[in-house]
Amino acid sequence: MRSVVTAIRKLTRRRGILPGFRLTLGFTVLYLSLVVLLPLGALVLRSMQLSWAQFAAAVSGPRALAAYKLSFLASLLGALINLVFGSLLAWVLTRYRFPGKELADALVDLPFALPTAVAGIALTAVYAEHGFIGRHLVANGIQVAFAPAGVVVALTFVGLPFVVRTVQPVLLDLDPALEEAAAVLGAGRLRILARVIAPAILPALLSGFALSFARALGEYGSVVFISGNMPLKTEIVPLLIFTRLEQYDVGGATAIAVVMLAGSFVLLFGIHAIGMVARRRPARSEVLG
Amino acid sequence: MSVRVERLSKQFAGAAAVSEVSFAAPSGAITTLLGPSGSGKTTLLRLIAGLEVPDAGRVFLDGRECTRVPVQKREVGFVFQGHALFEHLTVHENVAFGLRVRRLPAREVGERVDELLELVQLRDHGRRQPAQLSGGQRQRVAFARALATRPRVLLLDEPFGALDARVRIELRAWLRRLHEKTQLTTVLVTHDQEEALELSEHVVVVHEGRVEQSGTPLEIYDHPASRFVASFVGEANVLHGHIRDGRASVGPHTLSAPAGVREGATVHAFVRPHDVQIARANGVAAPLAGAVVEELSRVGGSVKVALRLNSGERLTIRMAKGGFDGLRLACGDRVQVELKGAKIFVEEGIGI
Repeated sequence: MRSVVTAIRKLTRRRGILPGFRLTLGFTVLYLSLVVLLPLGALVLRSMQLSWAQFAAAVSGPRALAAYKLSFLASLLGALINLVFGSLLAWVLTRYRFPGKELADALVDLPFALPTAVAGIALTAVYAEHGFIGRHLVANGIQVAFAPAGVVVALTFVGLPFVVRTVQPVLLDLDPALEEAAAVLGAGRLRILARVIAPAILPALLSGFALSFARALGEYGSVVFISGNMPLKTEIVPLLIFTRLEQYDVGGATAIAVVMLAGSFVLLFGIHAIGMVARRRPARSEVLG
Repeated sequence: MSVRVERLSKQFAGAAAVSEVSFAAPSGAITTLLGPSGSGKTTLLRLIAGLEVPDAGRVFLDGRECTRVPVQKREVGFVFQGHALFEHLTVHENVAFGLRVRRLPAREVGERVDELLELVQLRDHGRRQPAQLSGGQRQRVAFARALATRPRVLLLDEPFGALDARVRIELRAWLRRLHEKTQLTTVLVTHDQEEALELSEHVVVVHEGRVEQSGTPLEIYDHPASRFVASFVGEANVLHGHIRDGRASVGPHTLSAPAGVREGATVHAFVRPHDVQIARANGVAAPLAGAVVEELSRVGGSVKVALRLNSGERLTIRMAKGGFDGLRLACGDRVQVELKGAKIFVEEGIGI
């Protein structure tokens, strides 16, 4: 026990000017525990009331497997779409001046503010068979509402602000001299984009992508209206959990939730790790005089 | 390889940054664009590089017009004030950037980069990241990167502006040696007159978007063409007076004035701090060209003496420590002042 204490002391001994490293670290750990870990721990504990056989049955039924697949794939696809178009939007908002720019900038945040159920109803109205876009799509044999594509549309909608808002400040801070230096050296626009701008905003792109993905995984309100919630077809994991709860199958609900949680954590941690590698810079202490 | 611009003009948001500027930078020399901040000198350099498109006028590199040639094709090297290195690339890759754009074979790229890192004395630093280097080293990498593609002209935008004073002076000497080796036509933008006078063979003084004067450093220093140049280049005291009998009368001093000036016109005499000789006013209660010592400060080997002339005007002079010790001056002492040289500017327009 004593050696653990000294190890922690060693780890937390930072000679800095600002006091309170231990205090703030302690607070951080406490806060994360209360707000994040405690409910998650309760979830895991609750699912442990099931026997292994019960747990396995609850999490690996065909309905659950179909729901995992839809949730993860649709979220991934939505986040990828946001990665492309969100960074494009951020680019346009930082690089160009045009009338109505402030309005466009403000619009980006709306998916944050809108109750997601309202977004779901609006999207359904637009994409349903008689809706204003849906009617043309259906005429061409494309089904969006009440189909997996609708799930992707809803998840793209709710995740958009994350990519824009993480990439925008980095683009704003990017020194224009970098692009000019590349141009003087003979680099054309595409090369500048690929070799100068993309590496500089890569960490921001990754964290925007991760946030958008995470948001999509947890999204419920907007999806339930547009997806139609057909088991095995358009049922997402959060909805399946809710259905289980409605059937008083709390154990089954928590078991699925635990799987969802583990999957999300692994994916987000992976994205974060890629970001860390991409951002890895030599320590400042190695700077030579 | 020479640089020449003709009647170049550029406006930003309706304000003229550069207006009708013409000058030529001789081949193989360092030419300095010297001016205070906001004078348009950086815009001028960017126009030469092709980073800005002029509203009017023409740019010639080596006698060939390239006003409309895009920046990628101008074959110029450019060093920015804040080094602008690609932080995600190693030093080696930064220098190789322009060579890779030109799709040179890998071996040639490697050899050229090594050659340049040797030239900027950073041979062992190729595998470092720019963040691991000091400010001066980073700027040297920026030089190597700009030189790698064998540019026809080297354009430097306040290359030492972001560095501290000691490093700046070191790099100044380093740039001189580098230029002796490369003999590359260079245009340097700076607001630091010391840098301009020390580094360049040719100085163009820029003020409010126009060329005030161009010439060798000595010409600019000894024969300033305007009041702005006289006050901006080198230290100068300004004394005021009038034209009397065709000569400039400044307090008790009479100085020669340009011919054909109007009697009574206002005169501004620019006196360099070392163009004044003083002697103790022994015995004389109120010497004709007298002054009182107001302030003394020793800066290294020289002494700065602030005088209040009998006319009430202030005059700051600089003298060697040896001469100063001989005078045994103290604050409040009366001295006799003799102006050994002054540059006279006669104000046009209404005199008294």
